[in-house]
Amino acid sequence: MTFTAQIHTETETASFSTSHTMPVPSEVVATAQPFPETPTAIAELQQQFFGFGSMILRLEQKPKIAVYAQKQRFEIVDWGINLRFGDQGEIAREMARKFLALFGKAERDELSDAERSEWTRIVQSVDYQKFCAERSPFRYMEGELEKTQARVFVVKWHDGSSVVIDRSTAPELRVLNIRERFSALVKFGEGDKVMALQSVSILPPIRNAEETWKSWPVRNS
Amino acid sequence: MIKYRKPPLVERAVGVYAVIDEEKFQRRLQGWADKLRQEFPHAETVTEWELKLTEKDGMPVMDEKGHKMTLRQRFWQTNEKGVRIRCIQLWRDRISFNLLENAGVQHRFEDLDQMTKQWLPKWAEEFDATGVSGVNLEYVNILSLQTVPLFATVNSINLNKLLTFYAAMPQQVQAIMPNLHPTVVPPYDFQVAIQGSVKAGSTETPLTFHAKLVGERKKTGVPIALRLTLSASTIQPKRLIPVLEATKELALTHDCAVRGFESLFTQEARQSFEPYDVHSTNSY
Repeated sequence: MTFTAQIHTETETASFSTSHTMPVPSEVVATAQPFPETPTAIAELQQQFFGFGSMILRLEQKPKIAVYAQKQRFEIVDWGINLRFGDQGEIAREMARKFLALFGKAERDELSDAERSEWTRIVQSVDYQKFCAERSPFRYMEGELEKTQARVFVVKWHDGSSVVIDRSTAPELRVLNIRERFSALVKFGEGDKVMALQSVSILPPIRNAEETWKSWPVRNS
Repeated sequence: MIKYRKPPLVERAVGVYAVIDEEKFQRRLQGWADKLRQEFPHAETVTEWELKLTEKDGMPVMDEKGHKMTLRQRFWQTNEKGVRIRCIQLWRDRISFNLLENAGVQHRFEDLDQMTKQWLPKWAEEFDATGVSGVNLEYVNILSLQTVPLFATVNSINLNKLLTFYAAMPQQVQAIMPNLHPTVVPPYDFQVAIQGSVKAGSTETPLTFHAKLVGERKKTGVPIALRLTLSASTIQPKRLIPVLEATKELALTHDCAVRGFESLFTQEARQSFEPYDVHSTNSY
């Protein structure tokens, strides 16, 4: 089995693009014929996650792209996003913009009837619970670094629960020694997974009950 | 090993495959682009289409549905004149490093090797690719008046003298048809694949060599040209090796591709590519 067709050398890519680009209509054709109401073709975009900055949308299914060759445009089906040929790199950004715009209006209860039905379709097509969990603000947490492994940290929170955190998610934890207590601002995702961790401070160890009792302030009278 | 100063080589590319979680890939794509920006400032998104055609009344018709599109990220480095000379391409499951001609200056294997060693481990770390399935090296040679002037005119390429595959053909044809004076006519296309493995100590590495000759699309006023792609691959499905191992396998695939090059071009052709001693600085 060989994979020669899959690297895409530049010279090969050039001919590939030529043979698969949609036909460009001349001016005459464009004006003489009305724009078609139905798409020339519908393609499935081989992608389910659309990231922009720290935000990511997980779609339940791969989105459909309707191609309108004569208009030189394509549309993301059910999203109401219409882009020019060549703007494929903008798909993730435009989906994020659309989602956030409707999300904001929905929060403010400002959706028009048309927007409301569009928002309903979009919400049904994305993992909305995951989006909301990831959008949650940072929380102040205290915990203890239990152990470190090659790619993860194991942390025990102040409530006794333990979590495994990717090193890449919380590089600041490298400053801690094993069994050291710390405080940090933590962003939790779906299933209480740590999505981000910042502003680490080292805390003193918790004294045992006897020490605490002895250090308790007393009346000197 | 003999190397060549003027091979008809126009592009070198190496591709590496890995299993990467899609969410992780999309989350970290922007961070990766930021890291590349200084050295590869020109980013673009390229669409790959997988189109579905059917036959209707004896004519090919594009189906309305069933097509697939995939987005590929490209990061380019250009020379002072703005000509694209180096590229890193990214898919969810693979990365490739491409070297193109820089104002007539031939690129070297060492350049590709260095580029791979510099960026492959960074890519693996960025996207948590713990292992890869091998490397696939491709050398694209263009045979035309420009690259093989001793063997070509505007309208013809003397394949009998250029490629060993065609060198013996006229005699063979004459043996079959003794009263004819045969000429090779289009299509000139051929391809061959050889599969085996290389054993070094206790390690056995799978190796596939593939050669493919196709005609370049004829454009008005442009001389006839053929494209000969030589590739050597250690990739196999379900194979998983450490990233560091993959960078070592690049030299193995290069060696294989050069041997393929030497076996496909005639002695006369190789002589015209200006062979020289391995200890010099340039290379095929």
